Amino acid sequence: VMLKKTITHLFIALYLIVSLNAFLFTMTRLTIPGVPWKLTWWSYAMMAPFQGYSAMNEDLRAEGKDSHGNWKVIDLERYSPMILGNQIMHRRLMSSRVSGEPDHKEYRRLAERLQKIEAVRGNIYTDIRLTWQGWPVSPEGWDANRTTDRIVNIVLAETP
Amino acid sequence: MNDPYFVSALRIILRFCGRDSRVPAPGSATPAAQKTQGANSTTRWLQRWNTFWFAEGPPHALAIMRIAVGSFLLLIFLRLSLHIPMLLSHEGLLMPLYEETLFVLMPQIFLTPPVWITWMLYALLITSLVGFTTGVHFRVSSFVAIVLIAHFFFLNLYPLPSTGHYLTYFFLIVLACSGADRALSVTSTCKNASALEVSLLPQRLIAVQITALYVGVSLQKLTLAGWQDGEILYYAFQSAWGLPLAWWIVRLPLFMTFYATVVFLVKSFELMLPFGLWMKSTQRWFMLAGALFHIFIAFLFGMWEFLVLIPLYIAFVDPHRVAACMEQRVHSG
Repeated sequence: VMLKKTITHLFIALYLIVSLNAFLFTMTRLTIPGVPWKLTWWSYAMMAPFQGYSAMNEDLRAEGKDSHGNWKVIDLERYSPMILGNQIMHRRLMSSRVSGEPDHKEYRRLAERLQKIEAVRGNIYTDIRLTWQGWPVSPEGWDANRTTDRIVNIVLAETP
Repeated sequence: MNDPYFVSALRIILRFCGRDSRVPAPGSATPAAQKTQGANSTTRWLQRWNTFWFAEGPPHALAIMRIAVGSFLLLIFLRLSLHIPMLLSHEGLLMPLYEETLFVLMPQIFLTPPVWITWMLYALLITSLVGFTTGVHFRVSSFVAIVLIAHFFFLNLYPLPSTGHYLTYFFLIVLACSGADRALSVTSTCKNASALEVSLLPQRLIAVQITALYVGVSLQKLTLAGWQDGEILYYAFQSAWGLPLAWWIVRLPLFMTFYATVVFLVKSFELMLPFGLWMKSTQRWFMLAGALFHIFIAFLFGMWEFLVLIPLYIAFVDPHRVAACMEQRVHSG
């Protein structure tokens, strides 16, 4: 019984230290040395506010070059069947999970995987191009300003 | 010093500060008495620590939380049922996170699973969540649910979880280690186990975590540059998260002052909420206000995962009161 109680005390102390560390990180971006980072990150994730707003809306665009040399837009929605906010998050974080910044190596891996899956579906592409697009927000709709003259394109990966 | 009013006032202050009113003021005590007083204070502090974390009580509040968390997780995963092959099998665009974890040792068949394996694991997850919610084979069900949710997370769901999802998974783990199956479960009906008292540690952990959520979120919002005016709300309404209600509001002829006022009110409310939930006299009203707050968020941004917090506010209520209330209802019903 004594051992169980001691272990419980230690567990509570660890929980409070991790929570405190996450709180410290929340407020100052500093952490207590020696406290496991993965636990701290999870604790931080349980107390982090929404902070990813921008005056630009963004999304990933995938294109495939067919045997005639024409670029066709690949519908990515089927690979992220969820509400729009989650779709964008899914497409962004699948490839920028390590640093938080777009990871070109990961996007290339994503492009190669997309090429294979599309081939299984019967859509043979010789090349795949992934582009991150941004355009100004508008009260008229999420993609109301997604027009050629307003879009900012950043090519992230291209195969082969 | 002998004025009875002064002595009474001093006693009230000392009691409020957590010291016994019979203990003399620090200045008037001998070093030995001060040492005793210090020891008493430490003992009392330890006593409070023990009372808070190691108390025992009826399992009804925990059982309600078990049902809420189980149902919520069932809802999340049943909602995904139409898209399971695309989201969690080799038919989809999987970018597993396994290489960053010990799970890299897992057989390849689970890393890029064929559809039949995915469906089998999915069925197992749903069964285990039903078991968790109803209390059937509670420990085994909880363990299987925890493992399979982690597996699906590392496989492809890792970009999705928000604060609400992380919290729900934490609640699942905490409740799995509790006596939440001792009441309002198939097992408790069979064995009449609800009369037992269980450890309230899991209930305290959930209450503390909810407190940490609101305190952390509100204090960070007080300091984050983006939360100092109404822009964050204005742009969030027009982002991919905006639902029809958000788009309707943003098209109204409102000044930025409106958004700034709402942001200020949200920050103030989130800061007050945990205190209001802990105080017995106000918790009912803060529960109602918290529920409305999260319902609004769900309708504006589709972030309905925070709705799980509403039934979990019961963690702040005295479990004896919850049990008495439920028994009263059973008898009157």
